[in-house]
Amino acid sequence: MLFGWSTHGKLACPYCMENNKAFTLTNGGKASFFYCHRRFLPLNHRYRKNKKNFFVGRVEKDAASPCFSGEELHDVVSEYGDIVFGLQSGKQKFPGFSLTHNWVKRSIFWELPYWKTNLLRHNLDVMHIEKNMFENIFNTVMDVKGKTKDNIKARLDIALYCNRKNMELVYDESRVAKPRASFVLDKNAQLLVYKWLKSQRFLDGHASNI
Amino acid sequence: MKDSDEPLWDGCTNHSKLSAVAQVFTIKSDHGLSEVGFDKIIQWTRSILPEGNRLKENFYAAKSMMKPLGLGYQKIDMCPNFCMLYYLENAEMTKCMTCGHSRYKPITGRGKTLVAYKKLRYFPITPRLQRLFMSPRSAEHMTWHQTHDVVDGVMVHPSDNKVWKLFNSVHPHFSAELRNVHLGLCTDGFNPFGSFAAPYSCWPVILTVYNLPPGMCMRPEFMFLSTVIPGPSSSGWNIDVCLRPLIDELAQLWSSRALTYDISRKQNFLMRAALM
Repeated sequence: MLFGWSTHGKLACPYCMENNKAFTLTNGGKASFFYCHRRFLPLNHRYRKNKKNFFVGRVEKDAASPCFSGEELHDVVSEYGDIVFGLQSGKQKFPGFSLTHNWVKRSIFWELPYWKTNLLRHNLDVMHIEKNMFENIFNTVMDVKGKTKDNIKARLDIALYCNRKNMELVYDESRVAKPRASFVLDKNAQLLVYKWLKSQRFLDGHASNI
Repeated sequence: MKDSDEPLWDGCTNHSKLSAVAQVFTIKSDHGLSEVGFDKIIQWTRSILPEGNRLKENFYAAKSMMKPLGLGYQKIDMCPNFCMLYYLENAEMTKCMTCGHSRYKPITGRGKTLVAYKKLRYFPITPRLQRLFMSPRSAEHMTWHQTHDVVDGVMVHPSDNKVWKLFNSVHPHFSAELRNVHLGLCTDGFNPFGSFAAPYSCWPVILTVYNLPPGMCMRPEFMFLSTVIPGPSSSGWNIDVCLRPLIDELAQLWSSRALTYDISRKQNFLMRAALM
C-alpha cells in the first residue's frame, strides 16, 4: 500500500510488475501464477522443455523477467499525474490500471531524495503471508471441508492444464466422484497430527487460535 | 528542574517533589489506573504524609508539572474523508478543498471553542532522536550497526544485508558519519477499544532505530510512535495524506541536518536520518 503498487490480480508481483504470465483459471476464476516460475530456471534447464509434467504442451522459452531499478520506476511513476486524495481516491484510476500496470498512486515516499536508490521500496507482511500459506497447506492436507484448496473447481482446472489423470473427476453414470488425492492424510494419520498438536506447549503469546 | 531539588516534605531525604510524582505516574501507566483512581491514591498519600508536604494535589496538577519534561506532539486537524491536512499553507482553511466538508463541528450550546472533526497526532522525530544521543545508556550503541563483528553469511541485524550495504555505497557522505540514523517504518491498523467492540481502526505509524543492536532496536522504549492516524475507518490509499508531516521532517533531516550533542563522545555533530 505504501509503495503504490496494488498487489491484487494478475499484476500482483511488485518485482515482475507487468512482465509476468499470470492467467485467470477457467473454472476457479482466480488469477493464477501456475507454472509461471519456470522462466527463472537456467536457459538450458531440462524442466523448461518438459511438456508432460508441467503445463501440458508448453515449452518455456522466456528468460527471467527484468528487475527495474529505482530510477526507472521513479520515471514511470512521475509520469502519472497527482491523484486527489479523499473519498473519491478509490474511484480514480490511472488509465490502464490492472491491464498494463497496477499503480494506484504516486507514493509519498518518492519525495524522499534517496528513495529511488533504495533496493527495497516495499515491505511485504511476511507474518501474514506465512500464516496464510500454512493455513492453506494444512487445510488441504487435512482435507477440511470448505477450506481445502483441492476442490471441484481445482479438479476441473487440473483436467485443463495438467496431465494428471489420477486427479481428474470420475464421471460414473449419474454420479461424479472426486478421487482421493495422494497428499491427503487418512483418518488415522490425521488423528496422530491432532494428538501431537494437543501435546504441544508454547510460550505465552507465541501461539494463538489453534 | 527546581522541583527535583525540593524535598517532598521538610526533612525528607529519599524523595523530591518530582521523583514522587514520577513514581505515581509509573504506577498509573503500568497498571492502567484511571484518572479518578490516581486522584484517590494521591489524596490518601497526602493524608498520611506529614503536614506541609509538597505532593501535587491531583492528576491535573501532576500532569502540568511533568509536561515541560516531555517532548510533546502536534495536533493537526484533518478532513474526516482523508482529503487533506490543515497544515502549513492550509492551516487557516475552514473547509476541505476537495470534498468541501467542514473542518469544525457545528457550535452547539454556549461554548465558543471550535472542535475539529478529526485530528491527527504527530510526534516530531528529531527531538526524540536527539534524546537518544543525550542519554549515556543509548548514545554509545548508536554506532553499533557499523562497529559490530560481522560473520560472513550470517545475518544478525539488517545492517548485514545487501540493501543496507548498497545504500551506504550509493551515499558515501551519509555512511561516513556512523552516528547517522537508519530508520525503519511500519504501520498497521489496530482497534483501541478491544477487538469485539464497535469497529474502529486507528493506524499508529512506528519508527524503529536500526542503529541499535538487535536486542535494543525492537524494545518498546526505542520504537518511536510518530503518527497516530485516527479512525473510525482506516485511511486506505489516503495514508499518504497523513504521512505528510513525517515525510517533510524526514526530507528535512536528510538535506539540512540537525545539530545534536553526543554524550558518549562529548561533542556536537550534525545528525542525518534515512528511512530504509
